Amino acid sequence: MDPFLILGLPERLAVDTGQLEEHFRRLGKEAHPDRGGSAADFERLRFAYEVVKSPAKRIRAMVGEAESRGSVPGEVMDLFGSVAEAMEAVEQFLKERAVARSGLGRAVLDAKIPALRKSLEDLIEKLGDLESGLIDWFPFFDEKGWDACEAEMGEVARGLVFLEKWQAQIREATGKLFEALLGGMS
Amino acid sequence: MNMETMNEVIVGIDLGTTQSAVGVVESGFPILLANEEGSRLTPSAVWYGKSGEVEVGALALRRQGVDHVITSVKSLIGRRFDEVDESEGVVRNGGGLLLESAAGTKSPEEVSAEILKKLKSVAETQLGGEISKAVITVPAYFHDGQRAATKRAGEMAGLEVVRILSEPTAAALSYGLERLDESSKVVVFDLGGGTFDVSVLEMREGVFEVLATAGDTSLGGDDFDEALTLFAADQLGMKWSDLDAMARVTWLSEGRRVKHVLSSAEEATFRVPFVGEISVSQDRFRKLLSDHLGRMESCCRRALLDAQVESGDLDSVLMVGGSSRIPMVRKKVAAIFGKEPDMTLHPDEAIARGAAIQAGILAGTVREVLLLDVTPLSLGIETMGGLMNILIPRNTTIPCKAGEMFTNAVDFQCSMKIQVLQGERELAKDNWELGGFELPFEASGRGQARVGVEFRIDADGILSVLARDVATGKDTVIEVGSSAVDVTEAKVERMVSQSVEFAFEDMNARVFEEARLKANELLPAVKMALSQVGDLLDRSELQEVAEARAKVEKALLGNQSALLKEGVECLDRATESMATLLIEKASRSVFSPQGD
Repeated sequence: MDPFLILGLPERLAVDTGQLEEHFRRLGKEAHPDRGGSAADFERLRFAYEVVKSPAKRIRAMVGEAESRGSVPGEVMDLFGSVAEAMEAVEQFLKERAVARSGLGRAVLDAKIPALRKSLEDLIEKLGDLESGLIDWFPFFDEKGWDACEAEMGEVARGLVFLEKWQAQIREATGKLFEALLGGMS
Repeated sequence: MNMETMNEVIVGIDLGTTQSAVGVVESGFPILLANEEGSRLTPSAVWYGKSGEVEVGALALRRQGVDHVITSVKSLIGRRFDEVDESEGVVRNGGGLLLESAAGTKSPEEVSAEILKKLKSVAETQLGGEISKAVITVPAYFHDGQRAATKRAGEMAGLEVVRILSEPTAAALSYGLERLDESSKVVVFDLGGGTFDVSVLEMREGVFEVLATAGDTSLGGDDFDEALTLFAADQLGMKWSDLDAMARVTWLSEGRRVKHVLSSAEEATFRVPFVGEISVSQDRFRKLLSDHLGRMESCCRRALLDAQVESGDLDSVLMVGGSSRIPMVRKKVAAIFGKEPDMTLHPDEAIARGAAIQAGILAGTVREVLLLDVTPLSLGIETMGGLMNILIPRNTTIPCKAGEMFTNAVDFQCSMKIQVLQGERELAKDNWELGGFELPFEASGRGQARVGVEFRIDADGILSVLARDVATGKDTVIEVGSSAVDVTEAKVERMVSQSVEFAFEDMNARVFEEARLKANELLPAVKMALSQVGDLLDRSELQEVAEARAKVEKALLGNQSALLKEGVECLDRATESMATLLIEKASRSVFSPQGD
């Protein structure tokens, strides 16, 4: 079912996040099982909220099938190499660290963490900038009408999907670096 | 208070590792109920007599050191034998575990049920009527098995458990109830006797939304007592393994006393009659806790990352749990979040108050509040290659569900085995195995039979599984059976056969090779470490490193494994402080770049 319909919102790509959150809180209060609603209704609502809240999921829900094939924005593709390289560097570091046999051996490896972390931080910033750039197209798409810019929307959607995935991967990698430096979690 | 005028009373219970409490909402405010000793806190201690008599709380605790008293049962509930450290009075029961008592073996659920029965009767005495429903809190980081076992304990005590509530969330409720018109982002740092949780929440317009949670279910004040005690035993020339169960209890309670003293004094004396005494400074205490504090910080950092909240965006950092009284822990928290922690909540009572508020929400007496909690661990299934395929990522708002379609891989395959996991590791085997089930297929050609499976996590954070046959549209509830027994036995068998294999190898050659590998790692590491932090070492430390290094270099030329092993151990010890310096340097540069 259409997530915008579930939330009772107009189908627009440009969404004010603050207003969306407030809207969800209001609906959630009514639909939540703790307040007499049904679990199924709340789950539907939560799912719709998750889709609409994420720019990547939101535009993907709108372009549908067209999203899966076609080109990706050049500026996003350009970062593919740097993301892969940074992730590879973290993987390599974790592998080496896992087989280190001595405290000092591990500590010498840990001395590389600040540089690794810096490269991840820089990437997150770049990805964030790119994401904002792509989201800036949303009002334009709304205004022109989605049918008129199907191809462009598909491209933006694919770009955002990549960006969202990479951001999650980088956050996960950052968490692993912290864990290595501070001591593991069970 | 008159029970007749209320249609339904639900109590809120904090079932803690060291102490428990019960509360209820009265005219809109949460209050805790005092037991017959006049205390709002009941020790989570249970004693069983030979003829089946049971004592709970302060009465049971009084027998400690004389008789066997079960404490900290929370650290065992819902766990498998393999998961817990070997300890006195815990016996294997298939994959699970039982506790020994004078009245025979008891499951952790049964023991917990005794504590809950006691709290139920406290509430019944105070409120003057029968109580049949409760909200029970658990650490946010409890997995499905621990949550389900806690719920079973409630049922054994004659309580319908209407909600399993996460402890930090409960603490946030008790903080936020008086601040419903404010909007804020808060961190709840909850360090109890046996468990640690950290949650990031957003509170707005009466909605308490958990953004992320992280934790460690085997980290708490008990570990600090133990660290202090093991240190003292070592210093006093006692071997921990030589002490019997009763002596250990005495030593550990002295460890706890010293910890309490160190919460306000600069120094404390660890004293054991007929053995000796030793003084423990704050600095020593800090060193003993450093690993634990590191693990805590790791959880805090991850919670912030997951919540996508910068510490600068936080309005308050709330601290609860008995261990938040330790000044060193507070200092650490202030450093991590860049903010002085808010200590206004009662560290031992806030969680029970929060449980009472959630009970009020469910009973309909607290109307303006809604709680949106999350699942702490990712839920997934094991794939072909032994990997974990995540279906519901951690920190998803509950209740929630996820569907997955399964199909038969070969002609006329009539079933498929599915293993359900919880955890964050890539390899299936590194995660907690929730259980498995056999998914039946209609007999048909390859790829023809299709069954959709729905994984649902309810508001208690507990999983249920539903299978829908696509062809017939028939739904079946699937029992996720714990296969812990088979897994455990298979694992043990494997371990045994492996150790037999190794036993036949040439021990000397193996020891030399191991030591050689370690030496080859250490020698270049020493060179690098000296260039980076060598100037921070004093002359005697430098000399110690140089001597150990020479020893290893010399032993590498020979073939005596004992000599090389000894040299490597020597170098390992000599470089400990360099390793610490390197790690501290890296931490500073990652977490406070301006200070480096």
